[in-house]
Amino acid sequence: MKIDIKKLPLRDVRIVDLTRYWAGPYATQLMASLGAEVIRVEATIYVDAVRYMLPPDGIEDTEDPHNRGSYFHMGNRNKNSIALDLQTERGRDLLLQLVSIADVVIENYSARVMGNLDLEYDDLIKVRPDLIMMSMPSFGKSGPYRDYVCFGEALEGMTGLSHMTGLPDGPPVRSAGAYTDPGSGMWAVYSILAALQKRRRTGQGTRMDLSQQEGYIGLLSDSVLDYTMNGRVRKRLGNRHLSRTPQGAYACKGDDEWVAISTESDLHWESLCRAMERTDLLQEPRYRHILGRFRLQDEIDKAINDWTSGLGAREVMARLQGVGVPCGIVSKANDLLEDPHFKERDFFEVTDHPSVGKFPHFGMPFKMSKTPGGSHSHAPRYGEHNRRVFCEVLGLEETDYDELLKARVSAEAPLIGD
Amino acid sequence: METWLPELKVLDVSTGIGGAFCASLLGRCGAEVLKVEPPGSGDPTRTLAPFFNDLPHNEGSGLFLYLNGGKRSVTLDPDKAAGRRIFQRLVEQADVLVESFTPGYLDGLGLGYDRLTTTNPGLIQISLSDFGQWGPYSGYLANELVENAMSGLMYPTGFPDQEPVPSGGYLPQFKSGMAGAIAALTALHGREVSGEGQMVDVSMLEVAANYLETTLVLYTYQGIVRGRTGSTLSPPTPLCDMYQTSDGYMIVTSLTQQQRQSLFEMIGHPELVDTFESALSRAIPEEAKQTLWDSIGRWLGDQATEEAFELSQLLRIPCAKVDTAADLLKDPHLAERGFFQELDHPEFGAIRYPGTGLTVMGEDPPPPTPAPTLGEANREIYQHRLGISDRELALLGSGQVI
Repeated sequence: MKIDIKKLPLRDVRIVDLTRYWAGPYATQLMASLGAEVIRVEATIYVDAVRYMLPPDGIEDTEDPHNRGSYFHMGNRNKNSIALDLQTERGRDLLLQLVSIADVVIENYSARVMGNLDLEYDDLIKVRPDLIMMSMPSFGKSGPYRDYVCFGEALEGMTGLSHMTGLPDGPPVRSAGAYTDPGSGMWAVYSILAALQKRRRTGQGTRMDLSQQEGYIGLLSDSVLDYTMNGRVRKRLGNRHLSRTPQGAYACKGDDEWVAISTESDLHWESLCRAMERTDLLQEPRYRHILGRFRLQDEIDKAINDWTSGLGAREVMARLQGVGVPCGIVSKANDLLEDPHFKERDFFEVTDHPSVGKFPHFGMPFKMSKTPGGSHSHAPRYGEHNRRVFCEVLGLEETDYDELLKARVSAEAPLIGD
Repeated sequence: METWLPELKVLDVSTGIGGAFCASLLGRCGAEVLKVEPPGSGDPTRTLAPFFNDLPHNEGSGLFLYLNGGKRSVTLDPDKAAGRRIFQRLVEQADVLVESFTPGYLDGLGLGYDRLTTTNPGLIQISLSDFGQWGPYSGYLANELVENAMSGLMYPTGFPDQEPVPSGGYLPQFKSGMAGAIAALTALHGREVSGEGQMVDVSMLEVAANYLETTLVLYTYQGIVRGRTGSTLSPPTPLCDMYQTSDGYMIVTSLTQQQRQSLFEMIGHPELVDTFESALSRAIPEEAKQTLWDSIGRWLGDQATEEAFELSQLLRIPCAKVDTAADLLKDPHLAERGFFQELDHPEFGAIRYPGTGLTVMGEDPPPPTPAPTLGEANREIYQHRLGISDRELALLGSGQVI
């Protein structure tokens, strides 16, 4: 699908993006996919580590390893990249010039970095009084942990999520990704869009801090409320649920193939038994009431497993969905790209990156009927838009730009520390 | 923040967690949110735990109270002809419609988006569903377990010799609600220029798939199908794992050489730095990994979580505790930041709610407000806003239209 950037809803929003890793980049990528002009300001020496992370196999030429990391490609599509050393006076000046014509500044450094660079909100509003600024450190900008360091891979531990994930008789389990990162990214986009509405109405900018830890706890509120209301610390449930049964992951035919089944009502339970051709279970008085089924979950699960283990996961899904029982295959990474539903909805978006070629990435979290956003350009090569931004946007002469390179204020490849 | 969108009118006809959260996020910015519930029992979220003292009560679900604070509630059954007429009139007065009916349901009632925009061209419709409004699975049923499974998030979660497990809680629903709020604000931004609203199709499955991270790129870029590895996460972070402490668990990561050096020094094995750095390439040999894991694990096994966390952070090693809800409620950091807010509920007394994590300079966070009782605004909205007479109202009630 060809996307017409000029028609996207956020085309009049310019964002100066100082974020790294994944939380902030998720936010700015989503806004860029909806039309915002995002200018990534990248460090000249300590560049975003994900630029190098998980490059494709089979590429011998490593002339530009900083452009090959898939992790960077997944989270920085549709953005511009400039390299700027903010520790130099010239670099800081250029950033302020850029901020003076921007709507939003977003950063996810640990809490003290912007202050160390003399680039706190108070410094920035001198050049752009109605600026919207979003800071999103792991633990927020106040409180005893304000300077603590964390990555999304660990932070979920302090949201309650890890404790809630895993089998009842086993240890807590970490998620398979840094979930708090895109979670925080979504909070950031929501807040920035709301602040843009406020600015439209009042002409005033806003300074916002988002604690990534707290934002994610907000998405897990039911377990917090169970504690504040009843003093209960919820136990891990594995694949089970507090009020539905049977519910579980059941092994299917094949190598490590699984299907998830969840009955939410007596009707679902009846339909499941009929689909399994086990109407005898419906005659069983001990299973008639849901409380009975709760008590006897293990033996019911065994009956379901006996049925699923002889069938492919897709077969089970089709049969149960056909009779209105919530059910789904446990997709592996390779299943996703082949999945008929994802395919028909064109979910995965292929970008063609000059350094690595074509690869599919996850797509938009929603489809807008008139202005569908999405990937319109590849994640930028390091400093790819230096010339455009410095010369066309900020009005520098070509010779000024060459001076910046010579003075190591900007760069076209990451500089090695002296 | 509750003064940012004072003119916005949101009509929330959704049931469940996602739509309620979407509308509540708009309400936090000052939008007026009118919740339309099925007559009789109302939004099924009213039946979801937790309840005070575990006693189910139609007005007492903690989750419902949290998701619907500050809204008004009317009852309406759009299945009935009179209900459809009222539905259309309510929509005429709204900027944003949030709905989560089975795809095609409103179309079938003659209340599809194209029809609704004939009288309200600026209408923004946020349609939340399990799998999207169209596509082979659009008629399928799901909940957080099924979404975890089909999005690809669940397969790599858990231990290799055990069943895959979903993430705890109702994350897919909450996240699709948040995506819906983002979509509504984006459409609103676009409407300022175009004057036109639009319909947004939010598929919970696609929202969940936005969280795939390395699970997807490992496969597309390197051909690796990520399996279950317990709490070890490598790649991308070369050392990321959960360790048992003397009184709980901790997750420790390290990305830079400096962080690894600090980590190995902390556990009294500075010599491991060399072993690790020389082995550090795309794949770390299994035995090297085991040695490292054992050394870190042995050391942490003798430490109390709190002390190990503080010491690691002092040395700037990225790490986190594995907290329970009880731990979070007594955490000094969250307490000092005032993260938990208290609502004084007229019937149940004080409830502590989690906040959003968002601090807006110069503003206090919006205070939590009670959720509406079922249909509390029927008279006010139907009579005063739509001009329905007392007699008609009584008829609508006895006909179970409202």
